[in-house]
Amino acid sequence: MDMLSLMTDEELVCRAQAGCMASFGELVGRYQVPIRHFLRRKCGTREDTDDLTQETFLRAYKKLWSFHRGAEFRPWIFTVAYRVALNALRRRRLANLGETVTSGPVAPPPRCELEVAEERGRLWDIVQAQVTPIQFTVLWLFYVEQLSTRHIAQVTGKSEGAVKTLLCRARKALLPHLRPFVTEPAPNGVTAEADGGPVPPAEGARR
Amino acid sequence: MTRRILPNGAQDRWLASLLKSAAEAERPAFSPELHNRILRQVLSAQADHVRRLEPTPSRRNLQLWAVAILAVCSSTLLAVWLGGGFGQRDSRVPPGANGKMASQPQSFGGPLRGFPGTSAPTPALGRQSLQKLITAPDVTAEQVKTALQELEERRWASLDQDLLVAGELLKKQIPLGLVAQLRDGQAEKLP
Repeated sequence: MDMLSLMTDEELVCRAQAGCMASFGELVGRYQVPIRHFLRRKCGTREDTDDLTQETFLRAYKKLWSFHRGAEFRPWIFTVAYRVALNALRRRRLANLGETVTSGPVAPPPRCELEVAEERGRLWDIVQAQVTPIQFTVLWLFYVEQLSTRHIAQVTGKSEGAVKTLLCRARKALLPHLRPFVTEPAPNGVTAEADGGPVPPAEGARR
Repeated sequence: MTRRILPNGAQDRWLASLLKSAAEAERPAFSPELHNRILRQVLSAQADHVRRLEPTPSRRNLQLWAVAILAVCSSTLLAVWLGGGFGQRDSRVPPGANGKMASQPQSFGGPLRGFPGTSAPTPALGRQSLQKLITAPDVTAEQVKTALQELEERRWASLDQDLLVAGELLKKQIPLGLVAQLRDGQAEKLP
């Protein structure tokens, strides 16, 4: 097993494609937590998260033949997870979490809920309250999973330009609500955006 | 005012660290139960896949094969039967047998000739029956020949009679009396 832990994801995929179950098990071990975390945030309920995670890896195993050599495994597995999440949401028919480009931002939660969330310091709850579902996905994959905009475009099925636009708009919508979370001085030289966007944290209120 | 697609670098780095740290704070722990459950499902899926790939004899294939074998056997038997493989016709004629045998009854006091492997008469079959069997082809051939000759002779035999009958019929159909009457009537009218 030590030998497997030293292999790259792509090497493990090649071995799994050849029939090595231990290699696939190693991949499951590496990606169980990130996939589970993403699905929990995306789909909302903890009860379904484990089932959706299992469905993701089962589907990934069945579609392993479609993974081409030279591709990267990380965006590929997140593509599978993203589609599983969309199917789950579609099944549940959650209108507020519908994944459409034309859908506008989610209506902000009532003031009391926002205050509660802020008090608890659950930043990502605020993020999900302030941005659209697709913007949330892009933010998560960019900042938490640290995928490139090209890979995010592959996962979401959008163009790279569209991903960058979504990222920019999400940041704009988010920054005014992040003041409570400022715990350290902002870097020097930070100026306001030319289009009159939110005031940078350096000039905002601090805790 | 120009709109910037990419944000300020430092600002973005601050946002990145904030979001990443918030995510890591709420990250779920690794679940061995879920891990085992996933692997069990994957193994089960792999077993199903292997089972589907194994060739399984279907009833339909067996039926098709049975029909094909029966057809081959039937056609083979039919071909053998038509070819006389079951001894229906014996083309070997005993020595001395010719067309005149039909009119000359033969006595078979001794052993049957022309049948290899037989040195003694067969008591099981009656001698007369056997005689008939042996001479049957010759009789048949003679009869056919005679019949053909007669047919050849009689081919034109009734032709003259037929002509007479046809003439009588024709006379009845054509109103010759009327023609004669008309002819006499015209003759009277003429001055």
